[in-house]
Amino acid sequence: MENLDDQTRKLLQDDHAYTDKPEEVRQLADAIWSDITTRLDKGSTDTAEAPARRRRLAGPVAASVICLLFIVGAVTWLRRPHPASLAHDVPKVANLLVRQDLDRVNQTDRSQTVYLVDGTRVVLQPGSGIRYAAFLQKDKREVYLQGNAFFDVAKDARRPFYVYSGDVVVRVLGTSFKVVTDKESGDITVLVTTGKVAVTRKNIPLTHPLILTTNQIALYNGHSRDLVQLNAEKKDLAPDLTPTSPAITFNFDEAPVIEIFQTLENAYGIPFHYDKATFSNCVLTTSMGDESLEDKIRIICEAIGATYELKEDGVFLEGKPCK
Amino acid sequence: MEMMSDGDMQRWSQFKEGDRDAFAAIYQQHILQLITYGLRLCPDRDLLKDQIQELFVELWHSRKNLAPVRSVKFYLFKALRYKLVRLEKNRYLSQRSARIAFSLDSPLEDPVETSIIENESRASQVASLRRALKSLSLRQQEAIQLRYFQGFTHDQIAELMDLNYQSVSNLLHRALFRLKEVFKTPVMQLAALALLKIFFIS
Repeated sequence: MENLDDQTRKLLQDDHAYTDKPEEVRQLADAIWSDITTRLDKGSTDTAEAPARRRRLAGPVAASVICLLFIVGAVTWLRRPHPASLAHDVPKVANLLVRQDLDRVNQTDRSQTVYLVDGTRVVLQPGSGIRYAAFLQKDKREVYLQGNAFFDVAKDARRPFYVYSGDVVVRVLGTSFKVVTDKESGDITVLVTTGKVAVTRKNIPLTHPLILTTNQIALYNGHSRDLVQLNAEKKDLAPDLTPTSPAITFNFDEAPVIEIFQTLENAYGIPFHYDKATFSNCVLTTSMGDESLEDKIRIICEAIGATYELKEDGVFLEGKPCK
Repeated sequence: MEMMSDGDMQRWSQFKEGDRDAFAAIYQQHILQLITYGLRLCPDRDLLKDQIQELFVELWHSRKNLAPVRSVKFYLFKALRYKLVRLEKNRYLSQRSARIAFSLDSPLEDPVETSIIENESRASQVASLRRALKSLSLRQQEAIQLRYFQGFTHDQIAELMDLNYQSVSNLLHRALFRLKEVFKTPVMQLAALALLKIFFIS
């Protein structure tokens, strides 16, 4: 402890010791907040923000309840039952599509498998979620992860795949790996099953990203923010890498097309919009593999003489009743 | 000790879940101190406004992916400093050493009357202190502010200023030493000075 008398210590705690115009600080604070809310309102998906407020927030609890209600309302509106939706209980993976951003969370207490439109398979651990541009159309495939998941990334040499988890960035071309975050310590572990990945930090990138191949592990220390490759092999340290959630099968034998649409909607998280009556007697036998979602839809549409359109709100299908 | 209270942690969780009011509350809770610190690093007001604005907008957009934080305030300070360091336009941080030399040599703005007398108002005491602080190097000023005004620990200051623990201690000791030379406060000296003044005036 430094040798400092109480009086000076108290004076050092006064803001006038650091500025002779404290009202300027207040003005700057207000101006900045005004800019922040303007920017957030422009691109925001939350429409329930309060107008820029001064210091004391009146009834913050009440306000956040209102905010929450509005968000719940917005969510309910977006997930409003469309003509073809089947009644089912709480979905295992909550899929929320808002303006081309897809948010998917595993709401169960077991791991769940989901698919990305490019064919990448993701096994989400309980409570974990991912967020990404629903149609992955940009030149980079980017996924934000919260929690733990296993990724089996579809090969696409033209488009690198990035997983962001906290401060860690994993870059892959075609491989399978697992990301685990320890909530308490903030430690993040990346374990590679097959293939090759490059791991670095988001905030202060490493000069040379760590390159990991089969069975190698990187560890991000939540406290020190160090990112290092561990020397141990996976068998010493890592929890088992093979996820136990069964992959969803895309093999259908005389299955009602509506059921197929539902399976695809669950797997990919993208809502399907169509008139149930039109397709109610359409039945299909097909065996689909790891082609992209769009290719799967194309296959189905060709078979039943329907057309599709990919829009911001999901897949829209039109056609005629089957014979 | 800069740590989070339970209320702070709850507000942080609410913010991470998308609660805009919690976000606003976090902003209001820390912004004045953040700006006070920011001005030390970046006297250019417009630049500082831009960077802080960006900081919070980015914070909002990446709320779901934030690693757990031990102290929101520390996190914000670190993030702001990082942003300012990356800017080439930030002359303070890039020409640090030149500035230090300059300010150590420069004379006090107000060379007279740096002592305090008991019946002086607090406002003028603080004003004297402010002038005295300006005679320190910018790094010393930053360290003093972080320690006594912002309430950070030596470890946190070390991380913010990218120094090791010992360097922080040294910096603070030298700063206080110089400050005391320039701004004498111990009660004994006060009494002595008061007596001297009376003696000379009468």
